[in-house]
Amino acid sequence: MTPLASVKFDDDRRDYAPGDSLSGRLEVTTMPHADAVVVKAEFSVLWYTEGKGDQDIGVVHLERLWENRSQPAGEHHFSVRLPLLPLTYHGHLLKIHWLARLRLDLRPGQDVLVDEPFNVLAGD
Amino acid sequence: MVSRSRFFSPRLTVGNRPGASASPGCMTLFFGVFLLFGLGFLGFFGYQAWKEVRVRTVYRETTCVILNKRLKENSDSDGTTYAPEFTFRYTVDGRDYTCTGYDSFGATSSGRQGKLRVLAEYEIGGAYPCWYDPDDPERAVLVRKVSWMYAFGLIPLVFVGIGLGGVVWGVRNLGKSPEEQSASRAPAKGGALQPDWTQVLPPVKVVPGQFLAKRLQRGTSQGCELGGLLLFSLFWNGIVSVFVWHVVQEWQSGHRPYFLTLFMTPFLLVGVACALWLIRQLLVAGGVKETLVEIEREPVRPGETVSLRFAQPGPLSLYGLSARLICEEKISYTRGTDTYHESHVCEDRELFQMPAMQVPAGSSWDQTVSLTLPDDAMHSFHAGHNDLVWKIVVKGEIKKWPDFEHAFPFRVVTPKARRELE
Repeated sequence: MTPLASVKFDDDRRDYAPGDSLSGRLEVTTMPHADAVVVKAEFSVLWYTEGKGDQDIGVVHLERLWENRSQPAGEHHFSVRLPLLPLTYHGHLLKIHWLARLRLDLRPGQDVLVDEPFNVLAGD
Repeated sequence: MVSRSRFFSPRLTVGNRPGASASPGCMTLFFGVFLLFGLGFLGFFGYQAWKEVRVRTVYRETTCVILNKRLKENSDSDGTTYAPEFTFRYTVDGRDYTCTGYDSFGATSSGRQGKLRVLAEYEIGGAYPCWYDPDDPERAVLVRKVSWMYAFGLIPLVFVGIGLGGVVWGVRNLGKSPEEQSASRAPAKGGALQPDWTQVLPPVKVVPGQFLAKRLQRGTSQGCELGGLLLFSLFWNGIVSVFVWHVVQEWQSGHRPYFLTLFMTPFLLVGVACALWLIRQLLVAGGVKETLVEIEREPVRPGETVSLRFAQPGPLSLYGLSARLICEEKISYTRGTDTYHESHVCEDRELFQMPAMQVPAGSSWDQTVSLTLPDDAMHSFHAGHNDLVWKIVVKGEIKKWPDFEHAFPFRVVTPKARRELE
């Protein structure tokens, strides 16, 4: 059993323009077992490359939410100003994706990632 | 409930993917081995250097008599190495000592003839200067010289440098998530990040133009290209020549090192090809004045039309001159210890194609063309292993001279990004 965690964007938007504000909320509702502790919870907004090339990653926002919590259940609101570049791209050898990521570092247990993808598209 | 496409389903993953990078703990261990290996070898060379210093500062000079001499040989699968070896007798405080050796390093190396020449310099029964250790008179050397073998001491320095860098990186990133590791490379501001989005644009060199606003510069400058080629050629051929010299000596001394000769042949061919390519590039650089490419605006936005002006100074006799607009995805990936590069051309458009012509000395051939980028053109992108490059490629076919092909990169950005850049 994994913790039920989610990343939700306001208005369920998926397409954003460069410079837009990306806002929403994070939720952690259940822990996998009673003695599990969230050593670290991080929220990040990042782009990453996908394709044949080695992966590149660019983090544009990083927040440490909680540390060493046995009951981290709760909500957290976020609002991030997106940079002007790069845009989402689907090429032949190279793809650029954007996502909002909640990372829970659990003890005992492995990291849990909740990824919510979105697009950054040319808006003008 | 709002329905979502499969792509937009929230992804919940246990583990480190996607976006994972090498674990700092593993990297620390890996580079720690590098560091230890390098330090071990550095320690060996340091010990040898310390012995050398003692020979020069502590050892005392005396006279010895050569009792015997021989060519010391060490053979293994890589061939045979040699060293001159003497047995000599000397007297310290009224007591006779007999020592075997030559210099303080005591290593064997290739080059049989050179060692034979050293042996010939000394005659059995002859008296020669030697130096002994006053703390341990049984130790002595016939010569005080710095061995060229110390040059190999530079190799462990590379291991130490790489190992130390890796260990420091690993220790600094212990306990950090891949996102935090990546974010630590961007400027931080109050916990949240304000990364510089211009970092994802390729570095493009642009100077003010004479006829249009900006003059594009070649992606790799001629000096850098030739310098890099020269350095690589010297480095490669320098190393290969040592082994080739060894093979030649083996053949001259009557040995038949067939395997080593066969093994060295491809390395020698690469060296020759590299030297020939260097000569070719020197001919191009020396015989052709660089094409000048000027652009009305830079960076350019998708859908925009800009003027481009090309100028080719003379004297030059051309079979043809052409220019193309190229958009290229370039990636690199690592498999084991090898790095591979691949590219894919997304846009390839001819800007002009000139037939054979003569450009007299002191004059210049000029051409102005109009360039319209596609409305849906992707912006330029630059990251560690992935790039999207827009460039103008000029190709010239020269009569009785090597052809040239020069790339002039420029940036394509979104309208909003350009407003910010301006």
